[in-house]
Amino acid sequence: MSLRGLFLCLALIILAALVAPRGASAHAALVASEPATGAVLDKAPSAATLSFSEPVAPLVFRLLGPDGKPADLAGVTAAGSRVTVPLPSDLARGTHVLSWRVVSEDGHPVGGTLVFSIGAASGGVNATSATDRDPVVAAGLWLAKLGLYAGLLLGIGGVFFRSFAVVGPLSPGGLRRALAALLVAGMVAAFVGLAAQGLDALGLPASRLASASVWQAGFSTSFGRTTILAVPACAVAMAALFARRRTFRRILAALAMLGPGLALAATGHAAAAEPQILMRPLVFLHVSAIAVWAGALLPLAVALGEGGGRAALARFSMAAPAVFALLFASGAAIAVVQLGAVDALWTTEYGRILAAKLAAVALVLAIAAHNRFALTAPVLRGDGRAARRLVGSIVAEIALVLLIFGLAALWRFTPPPRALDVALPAVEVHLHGEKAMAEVVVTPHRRRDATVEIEPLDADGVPFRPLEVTLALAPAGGGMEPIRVVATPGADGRWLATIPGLAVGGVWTIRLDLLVSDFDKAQLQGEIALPTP
Amino acid sequence: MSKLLFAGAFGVLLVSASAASAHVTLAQSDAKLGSTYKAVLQVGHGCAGSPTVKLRVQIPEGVINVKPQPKPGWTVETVKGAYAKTYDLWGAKVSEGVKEIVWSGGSLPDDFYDEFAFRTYLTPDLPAGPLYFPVVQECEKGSERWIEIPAAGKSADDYEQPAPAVTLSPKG
Repeated sequence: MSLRGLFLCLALIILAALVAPRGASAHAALVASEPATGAVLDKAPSAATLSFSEPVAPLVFRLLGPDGKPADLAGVTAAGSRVTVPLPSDLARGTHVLSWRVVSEDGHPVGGTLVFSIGAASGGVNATSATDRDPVVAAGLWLAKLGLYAGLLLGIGGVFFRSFAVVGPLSPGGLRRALAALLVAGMVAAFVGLAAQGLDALGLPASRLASASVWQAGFSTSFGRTTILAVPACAVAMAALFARRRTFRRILAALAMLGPGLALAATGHAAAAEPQILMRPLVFLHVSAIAVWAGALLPLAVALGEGGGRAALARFSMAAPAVFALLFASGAAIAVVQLGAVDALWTTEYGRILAAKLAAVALVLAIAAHNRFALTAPVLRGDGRAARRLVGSIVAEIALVLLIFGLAALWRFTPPPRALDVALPAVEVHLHGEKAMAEVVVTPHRRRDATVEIEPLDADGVPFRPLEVTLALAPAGGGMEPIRVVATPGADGRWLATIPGLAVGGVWTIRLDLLVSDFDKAQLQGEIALPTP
Repeated sequence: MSKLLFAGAFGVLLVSASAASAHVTLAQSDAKLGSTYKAVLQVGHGCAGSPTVKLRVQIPEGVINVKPQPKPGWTVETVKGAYAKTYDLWGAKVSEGVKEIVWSGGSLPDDFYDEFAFRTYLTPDLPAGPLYFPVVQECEKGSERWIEIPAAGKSADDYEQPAPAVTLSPKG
């Protein structure tokens, strides 16, 4: 077997190992917990219990409070498959992350986290611990993103362009080495990112890198999925780079080209935004378009520098406008969702980074336009001076692209304006009356009025459409007039209302008036416990 | 300044308190079962200052032989329909009649008071206790619905817009 074949086999084995479902192993698995993950509790529990699929022995238990400071938990006891973790008595309100690690009977350690909130969920763990993040970890997070972008977009994109657009004999020298280096950088970055994400999630300094729980935590973040997708994609691209037969090369390159979009749609603020069904495909399109366009730059520069590449340039300049259009349309849509308002472009850090990125993109666009309209035609005619100028111009573009990647990687540290306005966990209540019922979902927001969704049901539980729906809310205990709001009918039979002033947590009485007919009103009453923002 | 504010706030309090008590009510608040009852709806105000232009009252089941009293300046209409069952009216069988009365075409300013009357027969089939006549008051701007019927164990005082009621007692 040739060295190339060996490498290919190795790549496929790695791919298979990484893609294989992780839960298939026979180690102990967490089957239930009290509190359940994601639970919002009224009172701090004195202990947490974890139930596993088989007997386990406890290893390490840590609790990360809303202040972002992790603390070791002592006194953990195990009885068979049940582990009891005593919790500190002075748990603060907000979201806590219980990191658990046990060893199962077969000797394999298993770890995971359990997220629960007391009173109400507070901002993400990252958001609270961001202030005292280890600078080495922060640098790792940034470099990992940058390396990942370079490997996935320039590396895989380059392989793709080289496989499809570069016709004629391939020069085996510089370009292949450069692309291979980019792909390796991408793979290394994926693992660096995993470690940095793990350290960041647990709030540990970089010196704790060797700890297995760090990697475990890294894997449990969305970046874990990115790694699982990015590393095999780079490996397949590498195989395409070294494949000798053109058809095989193209199949591998096309397969690898799915990687950037999938890997980056699996993580990050943009992909996590609602509506998911729209945002993830948008991120996929945006990233794929970048890979197609930016990936072409390096092969083009190298080919033109070596005195060839005219056919590739012709293909590139033909496809570029459509790819650019896709890139901008998807980018604009993502920006709209993430920003929420125009002034966020300069009032928030996220927006300022976007503004800087847009400025760099405008510069790239100007260079690209110059290349396209002033240089491409002479180069295609065989003008040597124009070709040299085009190479210089493309190198400048690549530098700007790297700058853009660096800016985009900074978003790891700035929540988008959308996320600043996060909704607190919704509270659902079923109101029951003789004539009618209703499902009410109250969603308090950190920075704006609470929203309420009401689904009116008749006495048999069948949705119906009242003439009017009015809502009255007051803190339980009396002494205050209720906040009255008229709901407006939504598209799907639900009625919507926003409740100004519904910011204070605690128990509120809620009354719902459903006007069944002109002379008939159903009044429903209940209580609702709201989290404190 | 603060005194002025206080006075203003107190004034608002008074106004809001009086607005809440000025319901649409029935002039005669009790009646005997199996007798003729002249229902007089008292309207003491419009809708948040807007003049009343229409008044609709729903006739509850068991109340028959309904005849509105003509009212100068207002058009009176009735909506007729079938009763849930057949009632005995002085020996005659009655199975349909007025279910709703509508006064419209007039205009009753918020500052004025007026009465809207109709005659009824309260069948002995009705249960003793409160009987509600839900009223919808429509104004130039907005409307008020006096249609709240107190749940068991509650009184009209617990509601903001209770339906006008008459308390029925057995004929004795």
